[in-house]
Amino acid sequence: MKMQRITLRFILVAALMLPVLSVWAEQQPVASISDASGDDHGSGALVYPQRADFEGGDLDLLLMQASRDAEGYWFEAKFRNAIRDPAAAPAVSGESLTDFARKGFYQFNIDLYIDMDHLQGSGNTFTLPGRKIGIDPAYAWERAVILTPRPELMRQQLLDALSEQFPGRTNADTEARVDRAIFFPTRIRVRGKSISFFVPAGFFPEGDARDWAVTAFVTGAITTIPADISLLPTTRKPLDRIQLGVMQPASGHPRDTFGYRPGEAMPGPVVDVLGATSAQQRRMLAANNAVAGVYREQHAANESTRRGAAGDAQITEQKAPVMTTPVMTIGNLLQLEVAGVQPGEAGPVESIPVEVQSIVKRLRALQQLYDQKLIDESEYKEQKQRILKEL
Amino acid sequence: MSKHTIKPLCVAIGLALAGSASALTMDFSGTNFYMKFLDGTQQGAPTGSIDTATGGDQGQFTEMNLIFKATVSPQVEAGGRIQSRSSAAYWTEFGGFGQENAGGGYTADQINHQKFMKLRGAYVELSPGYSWLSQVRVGTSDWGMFDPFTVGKIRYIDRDNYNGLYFKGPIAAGSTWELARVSLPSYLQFNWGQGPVCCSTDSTQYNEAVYIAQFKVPVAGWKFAVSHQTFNDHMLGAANSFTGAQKNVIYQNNVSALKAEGSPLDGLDLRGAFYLSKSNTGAGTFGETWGNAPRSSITARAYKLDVDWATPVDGLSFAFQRFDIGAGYYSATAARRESDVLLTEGTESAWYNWGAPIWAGGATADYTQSASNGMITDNAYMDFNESPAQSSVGWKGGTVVGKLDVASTPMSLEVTRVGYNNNWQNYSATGPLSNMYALNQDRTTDIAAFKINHIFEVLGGLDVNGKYKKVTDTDKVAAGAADDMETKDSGITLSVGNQLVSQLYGTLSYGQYNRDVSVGTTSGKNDKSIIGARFAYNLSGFEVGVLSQWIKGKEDINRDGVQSKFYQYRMKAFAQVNF
Repeated sequence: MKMQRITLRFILVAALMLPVLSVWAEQQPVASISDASGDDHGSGALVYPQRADFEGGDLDLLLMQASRDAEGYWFEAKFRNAIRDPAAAPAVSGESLTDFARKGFYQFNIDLYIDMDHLQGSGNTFTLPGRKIGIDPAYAWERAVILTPRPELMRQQLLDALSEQFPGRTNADTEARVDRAIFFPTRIRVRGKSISFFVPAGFFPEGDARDWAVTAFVTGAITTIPADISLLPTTRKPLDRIQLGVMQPASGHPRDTFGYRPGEAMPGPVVDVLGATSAQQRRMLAANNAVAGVYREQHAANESTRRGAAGDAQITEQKAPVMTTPVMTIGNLLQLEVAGVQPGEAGPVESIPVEVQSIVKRLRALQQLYDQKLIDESEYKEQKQRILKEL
Repeated sequence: MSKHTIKPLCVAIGLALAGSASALTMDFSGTNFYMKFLDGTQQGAPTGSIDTATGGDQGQFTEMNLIFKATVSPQVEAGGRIQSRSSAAYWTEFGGFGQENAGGGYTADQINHQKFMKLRGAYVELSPGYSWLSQVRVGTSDWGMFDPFTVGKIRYIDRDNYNGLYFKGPIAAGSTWELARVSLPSYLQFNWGQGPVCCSTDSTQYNEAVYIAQFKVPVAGWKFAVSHQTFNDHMLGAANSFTGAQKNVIYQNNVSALKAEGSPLDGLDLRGAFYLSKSNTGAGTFGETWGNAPRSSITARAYKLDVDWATPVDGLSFAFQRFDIGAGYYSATAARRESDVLLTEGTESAWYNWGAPIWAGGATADYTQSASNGMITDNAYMDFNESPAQSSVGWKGGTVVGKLDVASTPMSLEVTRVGYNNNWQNYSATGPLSNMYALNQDRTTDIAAFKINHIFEVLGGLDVNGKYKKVTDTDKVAAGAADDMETKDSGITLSVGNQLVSQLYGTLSYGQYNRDVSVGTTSGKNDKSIIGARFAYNLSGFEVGVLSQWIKGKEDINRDGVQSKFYQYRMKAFAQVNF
């Protein structure tokens, strides 16, 4: 028995030392985006669930940081309150939530929709099922990172719904297309008010992450998949029926989901949008329009900046973001070609070689950004030079 | 109802539900089916329910939990919960067929085998929309809106059974007020609602209630809360058919609370809570030894101070907690379970209920510390995979937890010292707390726990956890060494988890635990190893969990120097479908 104790202690010490002694990759910061405090109310109508383990601030996102190491990207989100442990959560039927929510959190999802080329209309404008919001075409995304307490379960639910709604596709093809565009992190660390999650570098095509734009928001999480009870035959499609782990608001003061004032229109489930002020967020979410993102740490709603005496950019003028009704759905994910060309796209660029088509599109998009005063003249000239060098 | 009637009835219900926006809407979210399977080496015989706590390690049963919520109008919501209470409804008995009494009628034990359904709660919730009143709830609630030391959440098996009235409204600048009247179950009343003389009738119990008022005020980024509750227990006096029965107050319980939390600096969070409880018994009233409340008048205080510090060093943080809970602290409605009020892990749960054969392996989850005294902290109807609760009333001391995350390897070290406010000598056998504590005690408990985790990127990710824990509990009891007690626990646990396939997660664990006990001049060594296999499987809407353990070791519970081998196998599986 003594030998067993000594052996076990040795194993424990070795387990402790191995990762400490191993060479760990130094992380390089990429971006840091702050968010207003106290705006965890969605469109302004949402109230927290009445459960004792939910209170104001739990889903109030304050900061999102990205850093890069040799293996990939670490995203770190910081909330106003400490992140609650599933071990302390009330469980269904008395069983501990830790059996299923194994990542150290259970209250929220964080969606990151990353626009890698920052080209108007290039990319997807839909969000995953259950979010009930679209993405502004100016921030159409190529890659999505979905942080959720049960990533394996939610990924599988999404695949099952896609397979059911598009039976003409093989399961392998559907899985490949989803995994190419959408990632559900499983390497997750919770520390106090912060949660970090890892995305391997291979998920993103080559490019400078500092040029990415990101649209990110927080929703309340449900950790089970509720069944859909319909007494009558329904015409709702599989993708419309699933919540994919998102709490859907209910009227009044419900215990297990977000509520809203009775008599008012039901708001969407998005609780907090990254980078937007409270007023900007209210405007974006109030009419269930598209959500705009952040590019180079400036939120889309800010159309002009004033440089202060020290040269720091300051946001002074706020206008309503450009809103268009999203026309794409997640089903388009199964139709898009790898190169990202939209179905039905036509025009004079078709006769030009593919690599030059890309440059023309990028120049047009750059012109649009300059015309809409989203970039200033020096930035326009700098980027134009950069693009033209590729010819 | 014949099948010819059901179909048009369903259509009628569906059409009604699919009617205009102002029509009633029904929501069944939260409804679930739950099935439990137990297997084991039958170290004991079940005494009435299918769970480890009552000696059960055999059988299967099913529970159905039907939750419904109706939105009657924008201001009115009503809901309820109907759940089967199948404490011993074995599949093999077909709802009690094997337990029917040939002579007619049923005993209480036989009723446990019936698959009866119980109204576990019904409520009406109003949102009247007045400027001073935003929410009213009439009926059942789990009462989680208050503090565990005042009106706490109810243990799962009883949750939703407490009924009452709840009112909430806004005050200026984000502040709120709350008032509640909680109908108090007889088992929480003084002497269990039966007065100072055991087993006499007491019709007043049906109107006994706890009244609580709470105010929450945010000020400059800080949050403050203050509450006060009161409970008067009555006993029937002389009856008079013309003027009504006289009622006398035999016991009062008042509890006040003041809490604050805020972040004075970035990375520094402070939380403080102070509680004052008063138990007053009427003249000539003295409680029974089996009562939940102090036997006579006593005033006690409790406080907690928490400091959370995220240091400038990346990955390094500390949590400090200082606590002092008076031995006589009592709230009739304090949380009995499922509310962990202290930072510490507590003592080693692998030795939970050591000495009871069915608990040879202890509990697999860490203790939670409850805000109720040892008389009402509740571990009934629990299985071995659940967290046992231990009373923290009477504890005083401090906890420090350091956390370090380096090279994607989070680790933590907890150090806790617990003293006891009931460390006294020759306490009176008729003292107010003589029903709760030993008359002589001089005890300290030291706890140290180190935990480490790392995910190795092989085989799709191996989640490795390690833990070393040491607990030393000494009690000199009374003067003289003959009754001195010391218990030394130490244990190592290792586990490896892996997502085997997309729907199946598996964990293998191994633990080695040692307990050395000495009392006076006698001592005994006990040790055991536990091998565990845990699986979690899910399909959309369907969850299965399985935990199997193989326990073997040697015990010397009698401290006679003779170690006896023991062995236990136990398994719990559950399956649930959630709506």
